[in-house]
Amino acid sequence: MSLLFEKWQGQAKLQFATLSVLVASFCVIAGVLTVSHNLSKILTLWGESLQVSVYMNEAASPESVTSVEKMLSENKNVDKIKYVTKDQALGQFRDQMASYAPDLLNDSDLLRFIPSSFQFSLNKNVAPAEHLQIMQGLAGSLKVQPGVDEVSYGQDWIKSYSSITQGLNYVGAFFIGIIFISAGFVMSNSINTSVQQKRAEIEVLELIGATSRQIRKPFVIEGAVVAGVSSVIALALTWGLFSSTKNALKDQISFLQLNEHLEFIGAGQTISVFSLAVLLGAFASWLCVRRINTGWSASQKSKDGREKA
Amino acid sequence: MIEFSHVYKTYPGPVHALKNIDLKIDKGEFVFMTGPSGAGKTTLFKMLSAFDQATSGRVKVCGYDLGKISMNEVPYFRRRIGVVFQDFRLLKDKTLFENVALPLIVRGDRGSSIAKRVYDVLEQVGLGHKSDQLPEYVSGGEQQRTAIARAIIHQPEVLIADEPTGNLDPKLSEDIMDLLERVSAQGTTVFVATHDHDMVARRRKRTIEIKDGMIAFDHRFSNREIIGGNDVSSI
Repeated sequence: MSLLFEKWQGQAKLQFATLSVLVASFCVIAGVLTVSHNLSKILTLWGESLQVSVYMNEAASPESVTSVEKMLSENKNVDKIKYVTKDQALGQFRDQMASYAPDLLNDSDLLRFIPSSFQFSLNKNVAPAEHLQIMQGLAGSLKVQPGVDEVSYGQDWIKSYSSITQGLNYVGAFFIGIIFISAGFVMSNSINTSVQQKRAEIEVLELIGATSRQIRKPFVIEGAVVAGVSSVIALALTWGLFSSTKNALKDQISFLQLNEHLEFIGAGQTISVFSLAVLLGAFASWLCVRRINTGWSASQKSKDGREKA
Repeated sequence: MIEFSHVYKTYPGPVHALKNIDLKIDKGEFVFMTGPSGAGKTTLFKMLSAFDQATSGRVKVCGYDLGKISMNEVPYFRRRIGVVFQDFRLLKDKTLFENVALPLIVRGDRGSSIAKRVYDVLEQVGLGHKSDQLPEYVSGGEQQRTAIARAIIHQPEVLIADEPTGNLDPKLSEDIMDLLERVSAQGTTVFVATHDHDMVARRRKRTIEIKDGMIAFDHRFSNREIIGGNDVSSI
């Protein structure tokens, strides 16, 4: 650790720049993860509230109704199955439309077309990313059942939202990758400078019989600590930014009823960001110092082919 | 203890730094190496401390054949030698105590035994009272004594000193040479490169002169010469 403090004293400006760049990089990573986490959460919420309606046709026999019911109840992804008879559907329609369009309730031809249906939602254990696929599969198998007229689950909307979320996740993952690599380069640059600054010390250590591992270790620890500290600062800053943004937008997004569901990345992801940062710092530093060995200083000196005396 | 057999060293150019060096130094011997700048002294010392390898020939130090030594073995070889330079090479931000303790820390010794040994050696070189000082606050002679303390703390079999008195005045140079002689008297082979012919003459030790990469002469004083006080500079 003493090596770190000594280094900070000697290279305060460079270290501040390195730390700032790393903090900014990890802020972006934490930000992307937070957005991705919340998009996924919103998809889950909307997925949970999503109801699938299987409309039976006029000529549906009791056997076909039973067959559909059996098919749904045997499917482990399906939850809260409810059969709405034609009369119940008509009753619900009357209740809902009585105040809006009382004239419509006198149209007996129209009312005749209101079908019986099954309504169900997906099991909570189904991952949001799988909603669309499972819904499509279910709809496909239900549509071919005898007596089934139509399956409705807000296909277009779910499809668009799911593809946007997936697209954003891919873009996010790409940016995280780029930022991680860039952060690695920044870290390497800092460690390289440190190695150059400590060359005299390295030479003395080589001279007194320090092994390559003993010489490399402080630099690798330094990289890990700097990256780890940067990630902690970045996570704290991102959390602060997220909380203040959430509060500021509280009134604007209240109609979506999402405010209470928006949250910062969980403990698992936080620990992952920190751990990856530490590993990145250590690895980038190791790449810089892996060539330091017991002949390093000498080989640097003798490159010009001349000797001192 | 130190053995050079038909050693050649050629750098790209080609620059022939060493040519056919044959040399044998026994355990506990005190040897001066003299010669003009560029004669090959530093190249020879680099080879002795495994910082460079011979182009051909064999270099053996402390039982290690330095032409065949693996990179992993080099640090362990260096723990058996001590090296002192003209420019001291002390770590500026560490106290004299910490500088001297380094070889023992690297070797993995325990804290309490390190402290005892460091204080013993600092006393031996007359710096016990300055152990907490940083190198920049002590004199050149004291810095060199610290460097020697660092080089001998792990009781090396060979001590190599490259111009150890080059930056010191005559009085301090004599003190340093006295110290190196005491180290030699304890059984360590001491090999000192120097330009100071007067001092070499006064000390009456084996002297090897190197010129244009070759050994120009290798003179061992006989007991009669040592008692009689012949001057080596006249040889």
